[in-house]
Amino acid sequence: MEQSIVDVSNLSRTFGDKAALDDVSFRATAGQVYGLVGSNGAGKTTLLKHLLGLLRAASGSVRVFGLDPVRDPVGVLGRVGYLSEERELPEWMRIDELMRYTQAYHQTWDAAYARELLETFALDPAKKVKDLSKGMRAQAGLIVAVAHRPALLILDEPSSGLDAVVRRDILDAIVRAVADDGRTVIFSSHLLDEVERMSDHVTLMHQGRVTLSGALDEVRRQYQRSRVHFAENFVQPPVLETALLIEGGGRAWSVVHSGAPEKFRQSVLARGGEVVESRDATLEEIFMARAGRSRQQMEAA
Amino acid sequence: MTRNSPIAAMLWENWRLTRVEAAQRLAVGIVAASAALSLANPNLGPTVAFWTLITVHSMIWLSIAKLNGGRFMDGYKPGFAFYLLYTRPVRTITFVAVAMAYDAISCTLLYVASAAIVNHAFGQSLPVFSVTLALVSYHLAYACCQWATRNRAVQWLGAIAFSIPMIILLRNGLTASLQVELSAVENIVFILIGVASFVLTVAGVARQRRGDAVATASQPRAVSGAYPNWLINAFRLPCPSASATRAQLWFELRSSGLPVLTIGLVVALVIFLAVAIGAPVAVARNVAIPIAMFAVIVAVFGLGNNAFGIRRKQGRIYASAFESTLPCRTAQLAGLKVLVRTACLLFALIVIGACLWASSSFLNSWGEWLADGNKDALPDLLKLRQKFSREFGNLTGYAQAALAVIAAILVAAVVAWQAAREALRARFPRLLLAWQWLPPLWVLAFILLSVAAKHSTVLSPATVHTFFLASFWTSSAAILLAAIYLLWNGIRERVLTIRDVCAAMLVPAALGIAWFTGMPAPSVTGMLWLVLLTLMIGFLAPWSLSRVRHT
Amino acid sequence: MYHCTRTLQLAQSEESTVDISINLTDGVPIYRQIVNQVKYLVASGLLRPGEELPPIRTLALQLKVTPNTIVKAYGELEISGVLQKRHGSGTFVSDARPQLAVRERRRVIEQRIDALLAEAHQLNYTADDILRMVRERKAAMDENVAEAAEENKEKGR
Repeated sequence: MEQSIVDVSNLSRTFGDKAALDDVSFRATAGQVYGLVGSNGAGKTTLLKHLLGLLRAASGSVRVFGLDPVRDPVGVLGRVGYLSEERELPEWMRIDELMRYTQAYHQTWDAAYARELLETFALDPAKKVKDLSKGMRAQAGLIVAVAHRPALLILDEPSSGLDAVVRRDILDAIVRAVADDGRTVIFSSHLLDEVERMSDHVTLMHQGRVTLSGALDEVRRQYQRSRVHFAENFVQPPVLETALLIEGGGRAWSVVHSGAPEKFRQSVLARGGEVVESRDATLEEIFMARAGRSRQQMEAA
Repeated sequence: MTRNSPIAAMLWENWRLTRVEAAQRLAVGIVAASAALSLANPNLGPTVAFWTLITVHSMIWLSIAKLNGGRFMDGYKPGFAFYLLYTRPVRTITFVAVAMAYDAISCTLLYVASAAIVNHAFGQSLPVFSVTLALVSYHLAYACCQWATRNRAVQWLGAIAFSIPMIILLRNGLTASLQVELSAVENIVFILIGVASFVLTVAGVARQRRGDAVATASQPRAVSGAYPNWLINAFRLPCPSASATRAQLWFELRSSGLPVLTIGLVVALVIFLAVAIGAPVAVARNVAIPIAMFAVIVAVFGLGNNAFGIRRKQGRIYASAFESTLPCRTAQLAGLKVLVRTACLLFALIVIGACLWASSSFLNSWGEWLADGNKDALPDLLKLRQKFSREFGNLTGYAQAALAVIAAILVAAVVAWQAAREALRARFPRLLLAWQWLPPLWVLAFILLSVAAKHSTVLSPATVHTFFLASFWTSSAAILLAAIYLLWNGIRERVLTIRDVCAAMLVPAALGIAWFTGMPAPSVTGMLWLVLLTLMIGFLAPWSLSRVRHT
Repeated sequence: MYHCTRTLQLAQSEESTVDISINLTDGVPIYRQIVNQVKYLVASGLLRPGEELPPIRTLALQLKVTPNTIVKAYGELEISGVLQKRHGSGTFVSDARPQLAVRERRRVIEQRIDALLAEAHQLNYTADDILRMVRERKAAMDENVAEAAEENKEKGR
C-alpha cells in the first residue's frame, strides 16, 4: 500500500448548528491530481482548511504526511503550497519582497523557477500587492505557492474570477507540479470541465458529505447518459428504473442513469420507448444528477 | 421592520447599527461621571464629570463610520457611510437629512439622559438642556467633515478646526456655578454652523453619488493592515531571506513596529509643539495640557493594541491566513510579535517622556497662568516636575535600573494582554464581551460601596477594605488557576515546548526580583499578584494565537 | 531551408507538433480520445513509423490535461503495439505495423457507418435507401471533381 500523503478519516465539523462536514473521509496518494467539486457551501473549502491546520478537527482525524497539521504546523506547512480562495497576501508588500520573505521559510525555494514564472506572468516585481488586479494577485499567490517545489499543492478555487489567460497559467502550474517530481495536487473548483481535464481522482461533495469519490474514469463509467424516444407524449417525466435525472419533453428525453444498463433498457422498453444513443456521462451531468437542485426525485420502481 | 416609508426604513437601519454602541456610551458615560463625582474633590468633580459626558457623547457613531471601512486609527475612511443608498429611489437630501438628524439628535438625547440621571443620583446640577444647541451643532459640523468629502486632509483638519473653537466657546460659556450661558450671538452662530454643515454635506454627498468625487482605495475588498500603507511603505528595508526568524522580524518591524515608532515620535513632537506654542499663545494652553496628559495613556493602549494583527472586515474577525499558513511555530510567532511591538512601543514612550520632560521646562513662562488659579484647577505641573525629579534623583542606580525593568515588563504584559484579547475576541466574542464588563462593574461596585459607607451607619469603611481584600484574593486564585490551565493545555497541544515555558517563566521572575530588590517599600502581595498576572499572560498569548490560527 | 531550421527549432523547444484535440462533451474519456487520435494519425500516415511523439509533460501542457492521463494513453498505445518507448529518449511510433493501420482504418469507418445507420433509422430510411443514396452522392462528387479538373486544364493553357 502506498504511503498516503493525505489521510482524512471520519472528519466532522459544525459551525454553530450547521454541519459543514459530516463524516468525511478522503485519501490522497503521491503523484496524483485530486479534484474536489461541489456546490457552494458543500464543504470543499472547509475540508481544505482542515488539511492546513486552519481548522481543528472536531471529531475524526486529519493527517498530512503522517503528521497532524495542528500539532506540527512546521513539519506540514513546510512542504505544502497553498493558494487561498481570497488570495490573501499582505497588502503593503511588494512582489519581490514577498518572494524573499517566503523564501526565508522554505529551504527548497527554487529562485530560478520563481524568476521564470515572474517573467512568464509579466509581473512587475516593484508593484505592491494592493495595486495588483485580481488576476495578478492569483499569479503572485501561485508563484509563492509553487516556487518552493512543495510535495503537496493545495489550491482552493484557483480559477474563480479569473480570465482565460490566468487560468491557463494556473493549469500549467498544476501540470508541471505533477509531471516534474511526481508531486500531489488537490484543488477545488466550480468549473467542471477544468476538473474533468485536470483530475485523476474526483470527489463530489454535497452539503458536507462525500457523495462520490474515485478515479475519474471509473466514476464516469458508472453513469451513462442516454437519449430516449417514446411513442407516446409524456407531460411529466416518465418514471424509469435507475434513472437519476430526466430532461426533455414530449417524446424525446435525455436521461442520466447509473447501475445496470440492462435494467434501464428494459424499463424504457416497458414504457414503449427505445434507447437511441447511450454514452458515458460527463462530469457536469453527473454533478447535476447528484447535486443539482432541480433534480427530479425518482422512486425506485 | 417597517415598510412603505423610506425614512422609517433609514431610521430603523440607523437604530440597528448603533443600538449596542448607544447602550455602551450610556453606561460608560454614567459610570465615568459617577466616578468623577464621587472620587474627585467637590470643586473639581462636577467639571470633570461634565466634560467626560460631553466627550463621550460628542463623537459621531463609530458603528456607522465603520461602514466605510478603514481603521479606528485612521478615523475610518471619509465619505458618506450609507453609500449603498445611492442606487435607491430616494433623494440625496432625504437620506442625508435623516442620517445627520439621527446622529445629532440621538447623541444629544443620550447626553441629556445621562446628565439627568447623574443629576438625580448625585444631587448635582450639570447643565442639561442649555448645552443641546451646541451639541447638535457640533455633531452636524463633525458629520459634515466626515461625510461631505472623501478627502482625508479635509476630514482631519476639519475635525480639528471645528472641535477647538467649540470647546473654547463652551468653556467660556460655563459660569462659576457650572451653568452654560450662551449669548444670543453665540446661539445664532451655532445655528448657522449647523445649517451650513447640512448644506455642505448634501452637496458633497450628491457629488459622491454622481461619482464625481475622487475615490478612495479602488479595491473594495482591500483589507489594509492595522496601519496605513503609506506609513508602512515609508521605510524601505530589504527583507533578509537567510532565516525564517529574521524574515519574521523584518515583517513585524515593517508592518507594525516602525509605524508605531513613527506615530510615537509624531505624538512627542506634537506635545512639544503644543506646549511650545502655548508659551506665547495663551489660548493654546487649554489644548496642550489635555494632549500632554493623555498622550502616554493613549500611546500605551492605542499603539500597543492588537500585536497579533487580527483584522475586522465586514463584521468578520480573523487572523491573516497568509501568516497562519507559514511554516513557523505559534509560540515563536506570538513571542516575536509581542517583543517587537513592545520594543518599539518602549522606544516611543521614552521619546514621548523625554519630550514631556523637555516641554515642561516651558512651563516656567506659564507661571502667571497657573498662579491665576484658572478655572480647571489642574494640578500644578511645575511642582509635579520638581517632585518627580527629586524622588527619582534620590534613588540609587540599581533602583533606577530595576524601575526601568519593571516598567518594560509591565508594558510588555499590557501589549501581550491586548494582543491576546483581540485573539480571544475573534474566537469567543460573547465571552469576551461579558468579560469586558467585569472591570467597570467592579469599579461601579467599589464606588457604590464607598459612597454607601460614607453615608450609612450599617456599612463601615472596614467593609470597603474587606471588599477590596476579597476581590484581591479571588482574582489571584483565578489568575493562578488560569495560568495552570493554560500551561497544561499548551503543553498538551504542543503549542508550548519546554523552552517556551522556561522563557515565559523568566519574565515574571525578573519582574519579581526587580520589584522586590529595587522598589523602596515593596508590597509582597502586590508583587505576587503582578508576577502571577504576568505569568498567566505569558501562557495566554501563544494559546490565544493558537486558537485563532487553528480555529 | 528556412522550413527545415524552423521545424528543428520547434522540435528543440519541445513544442508539440502533434495535432490532437480534446472534446469534453461527447462523453468519451480523455485518454481514450488521445489513444484514438494517435491511432488515426498513425493509420492515415500523418505519423510515420519511427517518428517521435511529444514527451508526456509537453503534451499535457498543450492539451491542458493531467499528465497521468497522457501516461495512461501512452501506456495503452504501447500495449497495443502502436508506440514504442525507448529508454531515456522518449516515445516513438513503432515500425511498420500495416495490420494495425488496416484495423484502425476499418474501425474508424465502421464507427461512421454505425452512426449513419442509427440516424437513418430515426429518419425512417432503410438500408437500401442508404446504399442508393451513397452511390448517388458518390456519382455527384465524381462529376464535380471532373469539372474542376477540366477548369484547371483550361486555365493552365
